[in-house]
Amino acid sequence: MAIVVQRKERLSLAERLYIPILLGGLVVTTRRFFRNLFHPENLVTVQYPEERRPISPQLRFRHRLTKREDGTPRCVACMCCPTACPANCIHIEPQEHSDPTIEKRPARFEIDLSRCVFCGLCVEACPCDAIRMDTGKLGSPSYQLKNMVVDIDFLLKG
Amino acid sequence: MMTLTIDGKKVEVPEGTKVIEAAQKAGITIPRFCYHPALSIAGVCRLCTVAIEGQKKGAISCNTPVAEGMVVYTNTPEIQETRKGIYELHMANHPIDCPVCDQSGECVLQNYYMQVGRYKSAFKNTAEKVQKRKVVHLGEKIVLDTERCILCDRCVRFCNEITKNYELNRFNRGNHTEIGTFENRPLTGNYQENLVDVCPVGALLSKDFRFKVRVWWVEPVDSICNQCSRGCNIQLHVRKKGGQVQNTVFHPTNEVYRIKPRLHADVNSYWICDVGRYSYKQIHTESRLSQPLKKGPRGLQAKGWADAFEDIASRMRGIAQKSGPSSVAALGSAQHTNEENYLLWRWMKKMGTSPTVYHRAVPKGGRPGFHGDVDWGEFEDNLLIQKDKNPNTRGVQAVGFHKEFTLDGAGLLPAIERGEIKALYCLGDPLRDLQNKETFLSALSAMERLELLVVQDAYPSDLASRATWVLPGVTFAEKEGTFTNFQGRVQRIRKAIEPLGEAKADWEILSEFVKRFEGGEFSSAEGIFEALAQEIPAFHGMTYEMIGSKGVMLPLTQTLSPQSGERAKGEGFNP
Repeated sequence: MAIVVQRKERLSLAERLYIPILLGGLVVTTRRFFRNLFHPENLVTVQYPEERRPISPQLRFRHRLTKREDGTPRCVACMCCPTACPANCIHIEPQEHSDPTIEKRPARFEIDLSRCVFCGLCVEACPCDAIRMDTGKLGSPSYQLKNMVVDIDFLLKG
Repeated sequence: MMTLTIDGKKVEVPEGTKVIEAAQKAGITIPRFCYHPALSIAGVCRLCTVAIEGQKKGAISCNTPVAEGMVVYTNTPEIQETRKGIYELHMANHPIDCPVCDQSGECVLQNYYMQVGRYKSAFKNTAEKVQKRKVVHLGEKIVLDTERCILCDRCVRFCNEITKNYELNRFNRGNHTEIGTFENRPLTGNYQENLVDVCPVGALLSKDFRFKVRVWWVEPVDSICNQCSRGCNIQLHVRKKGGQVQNTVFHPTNEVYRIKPRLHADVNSYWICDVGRYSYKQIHTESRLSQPLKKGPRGLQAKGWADAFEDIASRMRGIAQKSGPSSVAALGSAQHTNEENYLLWRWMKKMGTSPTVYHRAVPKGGRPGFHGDVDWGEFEDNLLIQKDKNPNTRGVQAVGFHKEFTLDGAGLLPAIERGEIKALYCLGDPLRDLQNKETFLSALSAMERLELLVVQDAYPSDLASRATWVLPGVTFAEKEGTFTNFQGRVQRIRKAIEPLGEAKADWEILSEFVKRFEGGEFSSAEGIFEALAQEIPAFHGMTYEMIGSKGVMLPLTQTLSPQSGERAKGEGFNP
């Protein structure tokens, strides 16, 4: 049991009269109002989403898949990222690549952003620099979970 | 016998044994690529080099016979340095494309690199590596990547010594040496997929398994192949249901992904045939029975298990009371386990009849992966494939079903036609392989005279569609039990995945009937086997523990030691 200390509330005379204290508060509010009105550059509020604070480039943003010079995905569907993923949100279906020196490509590549914890382990695991988290875009909110599963086309657009 | 010392351990081995095998006996695995216990010695990879006291240079342990009093060191600093040098040369032209390579995760080159490689490469420029052919299709089953090949010659020796079709060989010279077939002709035969197992690297890959799933996502379950009476020891590679299984969207769980052979020196050595290897496809086929079905006015209708047990049991009782117990018959199956046939036999005994007829599948036509000019059911070869394509013919006979079901021979169909048999319980479908249409139709119409026909099977069939009740059984991957192979070796199959839909393991279905007819309660296949071992003389004294991973011979004479095969010295070796 916590100890409860009983304290008697003692109001000053001004407080007991109520009106002077009320007016005092109004003075503070009015002073702020006119200061903001004539010097808006000192405002601390950011007008999101029209106005945004700078984000550190080190932040792990939404994923993108990088492309080869011919525009096809660099990904070779090696399954290193789904193996490394702690949230189990990356799903890849491999396919034969027409170029035998590449051999493998993803037929489908899906990331469930509603499960992703943005840890960046997929980027670390990738042997081909095929997945990056440098889009500068944050997660994609949605009203429905199924809309947060993004496919290969979305990821290639970046 | 000769005594030698390997890394301070004394070993006694017969004369002529190679040092690498003696070391294996002492519990020391010397790194190797080209040595394979079932193949001849090539001595090309040099990785198994060891130091022998009294010799200035290292010697390859795979081709050095033991001598009395020999002192061998397998891990001195000089040997470690030698291995690194050898490793560097093996890897000189290897593409090191492990992420793309399907062998990754079970690659001998990968594993030994972490164990004994770890050299500092002098080859700085990867562009200088010799470019060779990639993704060469050698027929329907195998794909070859000559860049990944380390030229250990195992595949060449497999073709020359095991299948004796001499299809693979080395081509070109020096840096440009490649494995291949003459004029890129496709590989033939029923044992091609063993080349993939034999290949220590990702040069020979199975087209069936390539890109399907990464090997570290599947786990092995020991089992026995059910495609013929040899009973090859196999592993089912599965993704089990539940647990910590991840990445299931495109790689579902509760699925068998491939079948690999398991070493048994006296049954299948290191090999299995391709038909056995592709037999997992029969587990995940579209047409499987997944619900109990009852004949109604508008064909078969889905019912619950409780209904099925109640209705079949009461009808069986009724027919036996009205027309005598001999009007009830049951058909054993060489496709089902010893336990299941025993339960059926036990149930029928309780009803006062004694079943003697079993049926055996003689498959017509081909099978996935089968190369041959006759029906699969007629085919046999001198390596593994037996003519009898049933995994448990010896077992069902030993349990007490003496007569094979034929259209006239066993007397079952004439008795049905005469109306002497009114109820028949079929384990499996005895008519599936009768493709002679007339006999098939006459057999089918005979079956229609029955008052009660129960078919317990995993797959739908013409007979099942005419049955009073169809009970969905499972395939060999979904249940426990034992098969008895053609040698009379009782071997265990294990449950790898959960049964499909509402299907139940066949022994579970039968044990419910045995319980209803007061024949005892069984909650596991092991319990059934205990009762079987007590009641059936041929199985006396056997237990699951005794069967272990090597099986027990029937009648019980001895548990066979794994060393009794000719080249079983590599026990514990993982190729």
